Amino acid sequence: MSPLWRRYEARLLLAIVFLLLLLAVTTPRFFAPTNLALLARSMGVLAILTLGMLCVLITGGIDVSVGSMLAVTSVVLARLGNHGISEPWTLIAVLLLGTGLGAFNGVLVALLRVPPIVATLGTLGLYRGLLLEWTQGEWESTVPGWLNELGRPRALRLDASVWTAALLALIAAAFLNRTQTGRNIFKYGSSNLAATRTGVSRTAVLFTVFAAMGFLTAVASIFYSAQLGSVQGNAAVGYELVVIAAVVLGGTDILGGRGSVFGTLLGVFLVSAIQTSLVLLHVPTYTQGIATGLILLGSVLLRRLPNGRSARVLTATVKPLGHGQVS
Amino acid sequence: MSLVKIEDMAPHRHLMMEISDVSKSFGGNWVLRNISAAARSGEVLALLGHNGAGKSTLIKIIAGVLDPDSGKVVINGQSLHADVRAAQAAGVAVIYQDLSLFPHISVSENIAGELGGKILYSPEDATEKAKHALSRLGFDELSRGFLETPVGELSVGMQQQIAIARALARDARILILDEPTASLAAKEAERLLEVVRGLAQRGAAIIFVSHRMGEVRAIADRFLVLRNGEISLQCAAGQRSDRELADALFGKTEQAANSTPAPRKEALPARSPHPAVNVAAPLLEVESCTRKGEFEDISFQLHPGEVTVLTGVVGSGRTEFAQALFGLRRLHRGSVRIAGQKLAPIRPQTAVAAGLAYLPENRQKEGLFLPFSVRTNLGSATLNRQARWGLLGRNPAIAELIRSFSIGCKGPNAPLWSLSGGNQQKVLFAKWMETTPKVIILDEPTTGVDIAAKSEIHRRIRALVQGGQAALVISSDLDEVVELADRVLIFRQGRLVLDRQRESANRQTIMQCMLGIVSCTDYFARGRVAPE
Repeated sequence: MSPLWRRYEARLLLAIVFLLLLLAVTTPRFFAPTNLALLARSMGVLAILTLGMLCVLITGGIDVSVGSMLAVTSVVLARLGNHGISEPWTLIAVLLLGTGLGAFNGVLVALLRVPPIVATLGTLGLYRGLLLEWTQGEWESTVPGWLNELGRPRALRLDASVWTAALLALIAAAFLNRTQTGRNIFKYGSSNLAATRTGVSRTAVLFTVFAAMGFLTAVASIFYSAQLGSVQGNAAVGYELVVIAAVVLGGTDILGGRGSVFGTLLGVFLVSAIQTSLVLLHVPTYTQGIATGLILLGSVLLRRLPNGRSARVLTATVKPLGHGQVS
Repeated sequence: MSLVKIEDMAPHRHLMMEISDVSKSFGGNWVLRNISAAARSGEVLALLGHNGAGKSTLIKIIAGVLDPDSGKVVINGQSLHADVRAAQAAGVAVIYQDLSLFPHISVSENIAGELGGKILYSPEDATEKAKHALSRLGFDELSRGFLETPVGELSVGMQQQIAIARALARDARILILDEPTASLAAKEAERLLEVVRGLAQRGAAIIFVSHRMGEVRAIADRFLVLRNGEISLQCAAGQRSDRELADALFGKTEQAANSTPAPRKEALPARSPHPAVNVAAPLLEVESCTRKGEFEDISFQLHPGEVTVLTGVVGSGRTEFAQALFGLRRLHRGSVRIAGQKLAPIRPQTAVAAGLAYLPENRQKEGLFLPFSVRTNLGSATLNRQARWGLLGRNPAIAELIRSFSIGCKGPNAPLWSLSGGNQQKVLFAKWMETTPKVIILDEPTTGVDIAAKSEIHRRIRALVQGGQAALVISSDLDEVVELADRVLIFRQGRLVLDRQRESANRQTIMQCMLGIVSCTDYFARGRVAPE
């Protein structure tokens, strides 16, 4: 690992400090305990989704169907709960459903070799369309009591979404850095030719990341509907933009091969902080799309600037080979 | 063991790999015929051969990527059949030209690879394994943070060493290096040779593919030379002179050189009478063209009525140069003039407009549109001319074009993929002739075409320059060079090392200049041009 100050994450931290200083001057209300708790709450769902998107982007793929998957799982969750299905069965059903939706994307990409952007653009329309067809535009205006309970603040005034996100982040970091499957995700993204030549299974890698994205979307949907208290077929339209922007801002290479959980969490914080402060500054909601779009484009363009690292010359101290030794 | 029989040459070197009577054909063409060879521990076997001699096919058969039609491959006493995993397990490692490393991933993880089927990945184990492999390469003290550096940040030479270390970490005992020095600077190449030599001394069997004569001489214990899919020479390194090696690579020079005019030449229209004293204004002027790392300081002129053949071994920068002339790669320095008019900027659009045509070597990928019809392909370089008010009409001349170029196809609407290689090449040629170019560059125009189509293409090129145009043909085929050229240009390691009228450069000179056996400037400065 290269020293911290040289890494992209260091620059992100700097940007965060700068933003906080700016906010301290312009909108001191930002630091009010209630607002901070609100900010944390809004980060939980986003963080869970970005962990899945991180894996997808590392392979060089993309999943633009997260918004649709989130809506489907949220509405199904609320409906099942409202129809009196018990808490554990509802949760199991929703997690299975989310994993299935992701696995379907995985089949398209990994087995049928549809390019990820096309496959998930297709399911973006498909999943949302099926949902609207089914609900006929009806709202689930309440959610079951146990779900409401999940949305309430707990330790340190943070709700369960934040604690779950933290736990999942630790698991994701361990998975990506300390398991062979996790390393294969990086290898495949770094050079898929070299990966297949060294025996990494393309199908396994791609299927795993898309299915994991679906599973994590289902987890996120539990907290999403708990926090909102009501869901409808048009929930989370365009949310994939926020998720992708946060991951890319966190230092993940959109072309694959590079990315980290730590960076992604910083990206989530930055995106959420900017959005919260825009709300505090009374910027209309639709202008926030401009901010998110600019964050995505800006972070990709900034990465193009020379960063001095590539100029570094690395050499190993070389001891000449002895001649004439036969072992 | 039964292996002992071939060990008479060097008893302490035991046999690691033996291939016997291996043949392979693709679509009826023999690519390899009756190849028998062996690799022993402690020995560097140089595998030599010109373009299309069958080297890469042979490597793929040893690596288990391809199955031979007949014959067998025995590695460490184990007979193998097209099984990459089994070949790897038996100790074969191929270091491909592109290295197949993971650029974003650390040195240690690249070297360690998968740690023996474990579920968990331990960076500590990877570091240990990488250190061990690197120390076997002679890297005992590593600078801080080296093992954690992403491989993509290292120099190409260093990456090469990492690829070798990876092979060692997998316990490879038969190491095949495919042109390992092609993209290395002189110093890095030297270091690599030292490493390879050291590995052989520690008991590995090395198969070393290279086009650079000097380094082959420096490193090889034995030569295995392939020509047209057959073994043309197999001997211990010290036994043969450079000239004998060159003969084995390109075919005997004596007969060819002494029998001018060659009988085949009669099929061609006569050469231009005295191209040596060409007074007409040049059609193409290239001045000190440079693209760092690919070619340097290239200057020459093409005159109307001349066929100039540019030749050189693989990696000498010929194709890169031709692509730069056509604007497919940026020049770092230098200028290009066509019929006196300077190309600025150099882009394919301006090049075509000025009268330049480029027929790429990989015609299926870069030159033609395979799913589309013969008609569409023939018209694809001249869309501007066919369009009226921005709309394309039918090109009435297509049938005439198919007839005059004798393109064998079911009709103008046949998809291009249904044509044979030779006829595809004719379509490519005809398409560019429609642009009425002043200068035409043909990159390996006759690879993969049959003999009839080949002489047809030669006739066309000859006819073209007799109409007052100039042709630059890039070719690795020495017969083609000798047969077609009015003038010969030779590239070696990105430099133009020879520019002579064909009469003053015989087959042997051309060959030796390509390989760098003789320094061409010296050769000609001293006026030692061998008479034909």
